[in-house]
Amino acid sequence: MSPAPRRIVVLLPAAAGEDHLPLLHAAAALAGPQGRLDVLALHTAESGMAPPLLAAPTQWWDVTHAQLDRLDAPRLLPLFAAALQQHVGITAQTPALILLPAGPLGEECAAGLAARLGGQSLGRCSALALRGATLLAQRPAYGGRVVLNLQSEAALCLATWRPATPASGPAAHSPQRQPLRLDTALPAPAVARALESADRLPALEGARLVVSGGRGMAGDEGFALLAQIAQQLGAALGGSLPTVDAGWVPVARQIGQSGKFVTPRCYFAVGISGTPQHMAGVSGESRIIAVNKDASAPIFERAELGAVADWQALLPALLQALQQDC
Amino acid sequence: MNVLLLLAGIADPKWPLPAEPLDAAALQAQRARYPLLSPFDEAALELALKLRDADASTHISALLAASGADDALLRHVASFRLDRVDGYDSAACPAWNSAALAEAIAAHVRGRAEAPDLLLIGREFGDLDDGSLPARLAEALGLPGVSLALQVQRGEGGLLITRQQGAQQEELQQSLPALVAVSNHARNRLRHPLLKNVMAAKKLSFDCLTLPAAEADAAPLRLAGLHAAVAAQRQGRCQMLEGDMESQARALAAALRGHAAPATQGGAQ
Repeated sequence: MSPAPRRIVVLLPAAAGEDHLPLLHAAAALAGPQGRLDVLALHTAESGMAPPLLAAPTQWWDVTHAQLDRLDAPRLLPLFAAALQQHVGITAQTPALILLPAGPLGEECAAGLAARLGGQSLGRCSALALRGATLLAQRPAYGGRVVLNLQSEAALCLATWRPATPASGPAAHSPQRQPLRLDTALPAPAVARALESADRLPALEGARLVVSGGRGMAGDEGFALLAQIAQQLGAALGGSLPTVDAGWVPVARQIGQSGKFVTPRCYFAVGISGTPQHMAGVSGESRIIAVNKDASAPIFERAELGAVADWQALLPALLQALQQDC
Repeated sequence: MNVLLLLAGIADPKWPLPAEPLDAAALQAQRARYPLLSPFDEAALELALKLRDADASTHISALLAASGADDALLRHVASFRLDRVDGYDSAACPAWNSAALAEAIAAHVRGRAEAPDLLLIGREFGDLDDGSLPARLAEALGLPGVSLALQVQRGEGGLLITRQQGAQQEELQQSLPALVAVSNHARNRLRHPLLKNVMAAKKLSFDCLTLPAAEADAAPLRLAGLHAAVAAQRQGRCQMLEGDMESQARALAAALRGHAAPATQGGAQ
């Protein structure tokens, strides 16, 4: 007897924007036109997402919870666990793959849910495939320099997925929507106080243009200039891990293997050498413009336009040129 | 307060990975030959030291994923004058299987003579973890977990934690015991050890523990193989700007304007 087909489920903790579309299309392609995809899209007062056409028949659950005061793992774990067990029919014995968006919150939820549901967590995957009852996964390691090939026959598996290549094929199925109002008991509200931030630039998520600096910026002064350039262009500001270490940009703006994955039309990289750890956070579809004083920096192998220059000389002139354009 | 630090170390990324054949043993040898604390390890260690700076009665132990009892990172971590530093055999419990490693560490923690009040861990555990281990370990120990912590101080009834919550930073009150996963931050940069403590650490010897075996999984996660990642290459050469600085700046401005959001084209913010 052939094993029951593996169900594919996507959990969207904050269902906003188009950032989740590659995950949804890849999940639908994995389920296939004969399979079934379940999407649990959590809606809050600030967020909501209309379901797109997908390549698999899809049940789209619009999940709400009246007492959900913040999107963090202590609240999302009981909420998603209850939704999966009580409404979607998932148990430790259900052949299923539960997918979440890559990123700190998705990874925390995938690992925590795996423990609560008795499933196996595969981590932050770049590729996923099914071969009979076996799940094949690829996961980056060693700062993006190595790819691990993982295999699991466990019935219930969880992963975060940042598809390395966009899913192809016709997206002909309009998801069937169903509201799901949960009243699961959540932990007591956290005693927390939001801290004021002077950061007024656009978020990295969904940005069309990202202006980003690396270790070569050598200090706050260079990032102040980058921030002015970003503001002039309506762009988001980012930085590499060493610049976050140094305190030049906040961790919320870290791009790379351990930070955010950005998908802008253009990535303007200044003082960034182009290590695999950093480039793992930039979409292969993004066009790269690079400034670096080292002509042999690997970033120029990815860039389509480059300048070999000291940022101290070039950025003030660039800012002036942008201001003159206005 | 008893603090247990969980540290992994990484293979220094400045050194190229070994040539083919690339396998798990070769990567372990790379980590043993070029050991380095990751920024997340360093941040966790620095926060533990700050807690001790504020309260000298704070007791700090460290458990480190080690290549052996002679792992150079054991001595480096001990040079910060911790109360105890142990290694565990990381080859027996690789971090790519976060569930098995979490169960093994949890069993070790439960077996310690003194239960830790606070577990501090970097938000990624070495080169093979992707951020799964802290969450999985908190679940295995039944502890509240706080992620993306940037600062930790003693507060009323527990800890006052500054953390990244989405796009914002917040101060969070957290009771103990708890597991706190630490992210890198300018204020967490690891201090240098005192020379006298470096010298003292040279005389120490360390245990490399074998963590308790996790329950056998009927369908275990398997590492079927690994290979070097192939970096995406752009087709064609990069067009390099030429001319004086002003003409390069004008060309860059034009190229960037072409990609900017429509509302910003030709208009100031």
